[in-house]
Amino acid sequence: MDDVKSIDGMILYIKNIFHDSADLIVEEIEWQKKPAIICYYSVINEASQVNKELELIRNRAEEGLLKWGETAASTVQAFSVPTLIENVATGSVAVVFPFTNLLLKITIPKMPVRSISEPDNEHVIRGQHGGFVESFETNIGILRKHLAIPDLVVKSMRLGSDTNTLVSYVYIESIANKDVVNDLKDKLENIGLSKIWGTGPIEDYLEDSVWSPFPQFLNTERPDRVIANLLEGKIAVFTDSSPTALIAPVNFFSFYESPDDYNARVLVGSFYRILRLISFMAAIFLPAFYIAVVSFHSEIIPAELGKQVKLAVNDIPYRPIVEALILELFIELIRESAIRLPTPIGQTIGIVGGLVIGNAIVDAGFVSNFMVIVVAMTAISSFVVPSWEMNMSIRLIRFPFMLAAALFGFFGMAIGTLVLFIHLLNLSSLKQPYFTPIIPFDPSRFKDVFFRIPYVRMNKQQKTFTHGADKEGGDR
Amino acid sequence: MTFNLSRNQFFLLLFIAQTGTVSLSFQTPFINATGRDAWLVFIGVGIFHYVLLLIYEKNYQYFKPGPIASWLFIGYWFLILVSFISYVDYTLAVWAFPDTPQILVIAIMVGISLYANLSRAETVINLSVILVPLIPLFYILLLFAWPNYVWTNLFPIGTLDRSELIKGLLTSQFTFIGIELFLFFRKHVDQQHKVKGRPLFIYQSIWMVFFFSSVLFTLAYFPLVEIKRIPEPIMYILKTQTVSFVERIDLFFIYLWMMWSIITIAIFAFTSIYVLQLHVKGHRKRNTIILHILLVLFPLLFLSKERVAMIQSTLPYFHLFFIMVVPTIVILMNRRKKK
Repeated sequence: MDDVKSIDGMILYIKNIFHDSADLIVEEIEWQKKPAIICYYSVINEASQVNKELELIRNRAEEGLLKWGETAASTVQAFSVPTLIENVATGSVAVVFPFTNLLLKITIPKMPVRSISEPDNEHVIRGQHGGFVESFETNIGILRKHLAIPDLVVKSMRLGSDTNTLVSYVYIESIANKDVVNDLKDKLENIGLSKIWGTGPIEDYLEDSVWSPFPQFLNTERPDRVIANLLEGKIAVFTDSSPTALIAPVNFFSFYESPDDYNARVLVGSFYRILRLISFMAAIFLPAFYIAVVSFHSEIIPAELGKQVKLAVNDIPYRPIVEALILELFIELIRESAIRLPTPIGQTIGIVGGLVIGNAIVDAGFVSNFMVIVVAMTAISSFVVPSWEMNMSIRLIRFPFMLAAALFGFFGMAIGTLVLFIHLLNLSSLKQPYFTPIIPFDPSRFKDVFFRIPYVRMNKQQKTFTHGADKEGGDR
Repeated sequence: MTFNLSRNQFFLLLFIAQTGTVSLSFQTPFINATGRDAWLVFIGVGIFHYVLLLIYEKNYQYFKPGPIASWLFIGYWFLILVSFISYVDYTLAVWAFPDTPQILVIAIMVGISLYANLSRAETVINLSVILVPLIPLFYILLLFAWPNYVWTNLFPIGTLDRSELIKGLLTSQFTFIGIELFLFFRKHVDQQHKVKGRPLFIYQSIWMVFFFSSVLFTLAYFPLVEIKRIPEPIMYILKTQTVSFVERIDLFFIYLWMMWSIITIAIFAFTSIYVLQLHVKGHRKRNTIILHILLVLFPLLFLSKERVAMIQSTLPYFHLFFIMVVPTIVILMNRRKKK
C-alpha cells in the first residue's frame, strides 16, 4: 500500500513539474511485476511506436540481458529529476523505475516537420530546388546525403535556459581551420541568452562587429550553398527551430555569389557576377550621385540633358534630398507591405504602388520624373543581390550617402566612400578578413571575385589580416 | 605595432605617399623655374631619385633612428601634413567650397585619417588600394587631350642657367616627399619578397612615368607664359576635356585627388605615430587623437595663398635635410656601432 502511495505521489510530483500539461502522459506501468512510471509528451511521440519500443526492451529485460536497456533508440541512466525534465522536454520518452532508481530513456521523437520546399527568398533557375526545414535531423540528413564523407563533423549543444534550443555547427574536419572552429565553439558556449528561438539571436552573439551594417554571416536556406561553403572550409550553424543556416567565415564577395553562377555557362555566370557587383555601386551611389549633381554640380551634365533636368527640378517645391527621401520611403513602404501580405495581394500592391501612385506623385508635383527613374533603378539594383541581409544593408547604407551628398556634393560622397572602405577593411567574420581577396590581396582568389572560374576548386578562407605565411586554413 | 608587408603593399604605400598632394601642384613651380628644359631636368631628377632608392635599399638595415632623429622626423612630417592639409583645403575652397567654413572641411578630412589610424595598422597600409582602379582612369583621361598637345612646345632646349637649374632641382624635391618612408618600412617587407633589382627598378619607372608625363603634358598643352598663371595645370587640362556623358570631368578628379591626398595624410600620420611608438610605448590611441587635433588646428594658420606658398617654399630645404643628411648620419652611426 505504501508502494502504491509513493508511486501515485511520484506521478503527481512529475505532473506538477510539467504543470499538468494537457499533452503530458504520466502513467504507471508494470515492469517485471513491479510498478514503473512512463512519462512523455503525446504530441511529439507516437503512442504505438512507444509501445513497440517498450515491448522490445521489456523482452530483453525478461531474457535477463545484462544491458537490457541499451538499444539503438534507448539508454539507461541514473534517475534524477533534472535528467527526467531534460529528456521529456527534448522529446524523449522516460520510464522511471523507482525501486532501482533508474531511468530508461527512449528517443523516438516524432516532431512536426514541414515538407522540403524551395526557399522563397533564394530562387535559382538551375540547381537544387529543395531547402532546409525546421528540423535538425532533416537538415543534417540533407547534408549527409550530398556529402557522403566521414570528415563531415556535426557538433551540437543546447542553448538558452528558457528555450533549451538545439544548436549545431557543421564543418569538414580536414578543410576547416581549427582555430576558427574553436573560436566559434567558444562563442557559442558563451552565449548568455536565455531565449533562443532562431538564428537571429545567435548571429548577434557570433558576429565580430554587431553594430556594422554589413552581415558577417551568410544566411541561407539552400543546401547547395551550405555544401559549397563547407567545401571551402567554412562552418555552418543550424538551430532546430529555423531553416536558416549561418555560414562563416565569409567575405564581402560571398554575398554576391549565387548557385546559379556555377550552374550556368562560364561566360553567363561571370557576366551576372560582374553585373551584381556593379549593382552594389549603383544601389549605394546612384541616388547620392543624382542629389550631388542636381544640388551642387549641375555643370557636369551635358547641356541638352541639363536643360531637361533643370525644367523638371524647377517645378518641385523641395530640395532633391527631400524628394529622394519621400520616394525612398514610399518604396520601402511598398516593399514592406508586399512582404506582409499574401502573395497575390502583395503583387497587386507592388503594381498599384509602383505604377499608379508613383505616376500620381509625379503628376502632383511632389517629385520629378528623374528622381523616380533614379530611385527605381536603385531599388532594382539593390534587389539583384542574392543575399537578403546584404540587400537590406545596402538599402540602409545609401541613406547616409544621400545625406552626405546633400550636404557636401561630391566631397561628401568621396568622404563617405573612404569611411565605407575603412569600415570594410576593419570588418572581420570570425576574425577572418572581410574584404579578402582584394585586401589582403590574394591573386589566386582575386579572379573569383569577378569571374566564375570554369573548374571546381576548394578555396579556403583567408586566415589573417597581415600579409605573410599562414594564409591558408586547415591542413589539407 | 607589428605588421608585415608584401612587396606590392610596400611599393603602393610609397607611391601614394610620394604622389598624393603634390601630383597636381608641383608642375607649375618646377616649369616656372626650368622653362622648356623642365622635361630634360626631370630626367636627371629621376636618375637622382633612383640612386637614392638604391642607396636606401643597400643601407636600410643600418637605419635605426634614435629618439632625437625620430622626433626630428615626426616634426618634419607634421610640417608636411600641415602643408598638405592647408593646400588641399585652399584648393577645395577655390574649386568647390568658397563659402563653407574651412575648419569644417579640414575637420572632415582629418577625421577620416583619424578613423583610419585608430583602426588596425593593416587598414592604413591597405587604404591606398581604393585608388588602384582610379589612378589609371585619371591617366587615360589625360591622354584624351592628346590631339591638343603641341609637342613643339618642348623645344628649344638648353636655355637654362645654373641658378635656374638649382631652383628647378629644389622645386623638383616635392616629388621626392615620402621617399624617406622607404627607410622606415623596408624592414617590414616579407623576407621572401625581393625588393632589390628589378622590383625597385619597376617602382622607379612607374614613379618616373607618372611625374615625367605630367611635366611633358603640361609643357605640351600650355605655352610657357600661361603656365605661370595656372596653379594646377593638370586639372585645367582635364577641365577642357569633355566626354559625351559628362561635361566637366575635372570635377570628378578634384575629388579623386582629394581622396588621394587624404590617404597620403593618413599614411604620414600613421608613420608619425609608428615612429613615436618606437620610443614611447603605449598610449597609441591617445597620441593618435592628439596628433589629429593638432592637424585640425595648425592648418588654420596657413589657409591663405601666400601662407601656403610660404610653407611650401621652405619644404624642399627641410626635405633635402631629411632625405639625405639625417639618414646619412643615422646610417653612419649605426654602421660604426656595428663595427
